[in-house]
Amino acid sequence: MIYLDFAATTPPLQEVQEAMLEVYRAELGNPSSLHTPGQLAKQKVAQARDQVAQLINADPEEIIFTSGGTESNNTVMHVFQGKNIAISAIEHPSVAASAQAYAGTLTQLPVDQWGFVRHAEIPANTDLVSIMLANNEVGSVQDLAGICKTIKSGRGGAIVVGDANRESPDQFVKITTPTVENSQRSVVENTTENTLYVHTDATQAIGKIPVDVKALGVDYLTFSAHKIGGPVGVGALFVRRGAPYCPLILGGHQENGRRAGTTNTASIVGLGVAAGLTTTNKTWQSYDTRVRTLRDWLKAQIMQQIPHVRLNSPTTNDLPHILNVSFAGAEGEAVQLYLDLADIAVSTGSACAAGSLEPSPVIMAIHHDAEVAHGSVRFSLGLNTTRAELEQLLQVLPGIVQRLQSISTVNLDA
Amino acid sequence: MQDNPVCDNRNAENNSPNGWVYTETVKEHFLNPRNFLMGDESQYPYDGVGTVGNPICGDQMRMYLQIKDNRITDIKWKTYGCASAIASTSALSELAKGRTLDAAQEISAAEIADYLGGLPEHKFHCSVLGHEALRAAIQDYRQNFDKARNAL
Repeated sequence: MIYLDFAATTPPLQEVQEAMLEVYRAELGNPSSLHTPGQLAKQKVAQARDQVAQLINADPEEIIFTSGGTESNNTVMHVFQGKNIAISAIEHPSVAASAQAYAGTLTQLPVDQWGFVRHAEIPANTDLVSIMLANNEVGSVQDLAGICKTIKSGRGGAIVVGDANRESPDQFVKITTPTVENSQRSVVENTTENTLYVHTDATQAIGKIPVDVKALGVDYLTFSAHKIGGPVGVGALFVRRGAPYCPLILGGHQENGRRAGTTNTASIVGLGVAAGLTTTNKTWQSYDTRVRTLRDWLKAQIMQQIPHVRLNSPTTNDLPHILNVSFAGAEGEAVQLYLDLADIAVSTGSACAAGSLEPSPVIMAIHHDAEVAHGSVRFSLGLNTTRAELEQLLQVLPGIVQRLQSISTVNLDA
Repeated sequence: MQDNPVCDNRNAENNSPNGWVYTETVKEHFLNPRNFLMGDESQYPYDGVGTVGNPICGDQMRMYLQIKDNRITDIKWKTYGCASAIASTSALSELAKGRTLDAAQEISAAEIADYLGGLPEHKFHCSVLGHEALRAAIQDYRQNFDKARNAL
């Protein structure tokens, strides 16, 4: 099997598996218990918290362990229940759906044709802005530090970051910040008026590019373990000290009263080990060199060998491991299944594969073209992906697309 | 709570978590589709043609018929769509070939799905459209036939 769906999930690293097994075998107690087995478990969790904090340059106290990116995102949106939330048009469903459910008013910030938030206007009374650091489908990486700076400058009026007149994806934001005269705003108790908070979903970015909460200037940041070689079912939520917070899951006093439920020691240890290895190995450097080179080679080969290809990923400010394209006349799920039968795993934005009638909202927000969205195919590489694997992909892909295009009702020469 | 779509669990019994698995017959038709028209339609002299669906919706089928004595003697098709759309159009072409026009018109989506050994619930309504294209092709033929007869 040639696995090219690392953006969906990565297999747990050997070191992660061993560390988790060790936790299970050591018969550790409940970290909330005062006895020795409990305290040993508590130490393990504390170590993992340090490792996660170090990965994103946060303090350990600012890290809350959750069941994953989805819960972390839901938790943040829940904090701003009834408030005014603005999210980008290309958020993961766990942000989009929970913002929809909890927001008093919800504003969607449009993206340009490369998937960048660039000409967004944030309403004056906004309490929370949520913009994902890097998009999971096309790989656009936002200039979040610039966006945060613009938003938080608090001067009001339109502010341009980069050159808004240039139609290339390497410059970014024109954002209208809230005006100061709006005194109705108070997020939750104990917050300062006129404070606008920023959340970012860094799930797809983490490990692929450097992520530093202080450099970014965000108040909340979420990610999950299984995108960096950790286990599924565990993730982290960074809440900047002093930012508003209330728990989503109520019950016991775990996580300092910020997230109830018996501590998932083994998974948290797994996340800690994955985070530690990511920091030590600086995996983003390998992604930026080796993986990016392979991905760019694949992109060039596909564009060269296959007719009627549309590139959905940006060419700059992009994640190094994602390539998203649409093959005109060939539907994404059909391409995906033909590849699967050839033992190659990829992903698609086709509605047929999602189990809904609507194709990928992300591709729709970028291209406004349902056929492009139905036909979108995502290849996502891992640290161990080889040139030989991509060569095998290229042995079958052109034929598959040609076959589908030749039986398609879509007239490609029109 | 029922007003909140998030809280609606009334259709829970239909939410099969494994509902996206294709049968071997579907896979087989997807891999080796029967009777499809390769390339340009000008290569195939047909007596009736019908189209249904739209690439915007993710699926489009077109059926081409050769007809003699009110019977489908040959059939070709083109499809833009997912595996289920391709397989169901292929299955339909097998079902329709050799039938009289009246009998071919009776072919239903359920018959196509049965022929394939079943299709995932979600797929049924969006991808099994070929029979409508077939009916449109038959109607196209009959209209042309009537026109030709009236012209005589």
